[in-house]
Amino acid sequence: MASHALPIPIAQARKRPRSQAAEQELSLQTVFFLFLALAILFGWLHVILSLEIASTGRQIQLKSDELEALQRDNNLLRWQVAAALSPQKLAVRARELGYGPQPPLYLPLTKADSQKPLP
Amino acid sequence: MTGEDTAKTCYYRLILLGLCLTFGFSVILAQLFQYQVLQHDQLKQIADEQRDREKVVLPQRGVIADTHGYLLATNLVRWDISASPPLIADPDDLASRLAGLLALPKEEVYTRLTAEKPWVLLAKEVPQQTGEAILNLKADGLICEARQVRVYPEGELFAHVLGIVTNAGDGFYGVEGFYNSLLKGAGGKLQIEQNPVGDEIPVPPLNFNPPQQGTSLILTLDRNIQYIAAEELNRALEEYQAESGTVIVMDPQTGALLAVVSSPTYDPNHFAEADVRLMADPAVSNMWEPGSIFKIITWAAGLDSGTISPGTTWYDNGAIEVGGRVIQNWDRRGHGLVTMEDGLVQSLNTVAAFISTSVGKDRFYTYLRRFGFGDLTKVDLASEGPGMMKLPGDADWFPSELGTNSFGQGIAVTPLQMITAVAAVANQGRLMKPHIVRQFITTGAHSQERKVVQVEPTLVRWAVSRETAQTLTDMLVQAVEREGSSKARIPGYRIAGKTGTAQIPTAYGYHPTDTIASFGRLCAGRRPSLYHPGQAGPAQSLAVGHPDRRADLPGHRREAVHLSPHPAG
Repeated sequence: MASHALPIPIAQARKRPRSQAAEQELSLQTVFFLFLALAILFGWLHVILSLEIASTGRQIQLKSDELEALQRDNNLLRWQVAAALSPQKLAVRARELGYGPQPPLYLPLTKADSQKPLP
Repeated sequence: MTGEDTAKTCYYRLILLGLCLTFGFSVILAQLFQYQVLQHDQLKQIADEQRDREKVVLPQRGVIADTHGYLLATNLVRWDISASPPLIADPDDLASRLAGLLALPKEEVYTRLTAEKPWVLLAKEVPQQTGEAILNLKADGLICEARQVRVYPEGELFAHVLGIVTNAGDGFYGVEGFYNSLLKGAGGKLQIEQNPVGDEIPVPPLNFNPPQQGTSLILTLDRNIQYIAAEELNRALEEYQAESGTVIVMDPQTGALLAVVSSPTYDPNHFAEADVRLMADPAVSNMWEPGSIFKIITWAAGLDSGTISPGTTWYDNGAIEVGGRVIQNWDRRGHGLVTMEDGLVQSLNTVAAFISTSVGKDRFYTYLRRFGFGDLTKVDLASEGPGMMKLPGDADWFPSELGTNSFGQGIAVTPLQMITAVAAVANQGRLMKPHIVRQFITTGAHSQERKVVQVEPTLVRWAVSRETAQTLTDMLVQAVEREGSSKARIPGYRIAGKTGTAQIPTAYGYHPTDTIASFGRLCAGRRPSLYHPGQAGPAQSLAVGHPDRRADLPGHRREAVHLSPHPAG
């Protein structure tokens, strides 16, 4: 029965000196941990930034809502002022205070008056 | 089994495992290729649709203010309050808190909050402050939806001229109807992200296209003049038991409308409860036979064509035949030898018919067209009517109409057409385009920069010459000084005017008793400029009204008393 050769990489690995393999493992480990550290760093930055963006977004939204509410209040106040100053309401209030339409007062103009320049 | 066989078996198993893994990964890769490459666009669209939501940002409708900046129309928020009963944790507590705010019995609110329905309406159009108080309860299952509503602080005073805005946000009638697209603005779009439940994720919007806010309008109307006009109109209507009336005050030099009042009116804040027939503005939509006020135009045609002068005499025997129809004076009497000025002062139909026939049909109707009759004035108010004027050559025009039209019968005009024509006489013969908006104020979508566009007066044409207008104004002053319009006189002021009493056409001829009264007045005094101190001109204010059933309009005099001493500037 012919013997079957082992796969080459295993055979080569077996042939390598122990110290060289250990060195290679160490450098692989370093690279792996370096990548892991970088990934964690980027992940952390991403989370922090996302958090900041979300927080700022939320603040903007709250401020927008606040602005909208203020605009609504402003509109309401302007409407209330306009309604309170409407001539109908002022006339009613004036009557309540005892004021009323007076007979018109006509000032007779002389000819000399009529030739004076207008103010 | 020898060690060699075992190694061989392991080797084959590894090969098999490798093949299985390769196959498995190939399937996954194929699926990935399918999803990521082949179906990329379609799947991305589905994902975006699930995650992104587009919200329409409604623009604020532009506000409307009078010439001094007093607010006439603005927007308020009303809240619609509803609830999802399955989501409410403590309906009893919420019911007691809502009952106080909504002024509803607690039992009623509780019944609704515990209904076995996914959604119940609690109250509609709740005032802004109440709505915000309910919103601040922050109760789960309570839905507060804000809705923009149009409000009019002056209520009925400007109802006809402003019009209404429906719940859908569309304006009808008046300024709201005419400038609807401008006032309405254009909606914006906000693209936001939502979670699987549909709640908005508080992150900055993916895309924001701001709305174009509605254009705000500053009108030429003066709310003080409007108020006085309304008061006087209502007083006159009450005094004469008239059904309806209209007063328009115009600045003849610019065509700016200072007051447009009609009665009966309605409250635009509660237009849903009003009679829809009241909503169209009678000042621009209603037609009426003007009657003798139209003689101003006939005399203008006679003077401008050189056919007559104020001193031209004519023997009035009380009747004149035009086109086979006998025309008589209002008093059915002959007045003997009269001048044209007498004819105007005494408002003689026979003299009017004499003038129109002397001018000739072609020239007479050309003058009517020059004064704008039969056409729209193109005022910036919705639902304007053109009136009705038959012309020689029309199938329904008869030669007798040359006579009847001369004193305002057989022709229909709108109050605005009439005042625009009379204003042309007051404005030295220049016919101006009537307008109601003085300024357009637009705010940019991306900036707060305000753009103001001023409306300039538009000269339509010269209706008559300057000399004709001046002569006619002097004759109209005599009409006020000498004859029946004496109530229109104001000491210290030179008032020109002409009354009109028109019969009301019915299906069986004219109404036996009812009439439409009108009065056109120009202030032709020494200081005509009420609002533009220092400018000299023949006239600044005039009014036409038609309270039914009576020709006299003492209200106009009272209004003039209020108007004329108005402090300049």
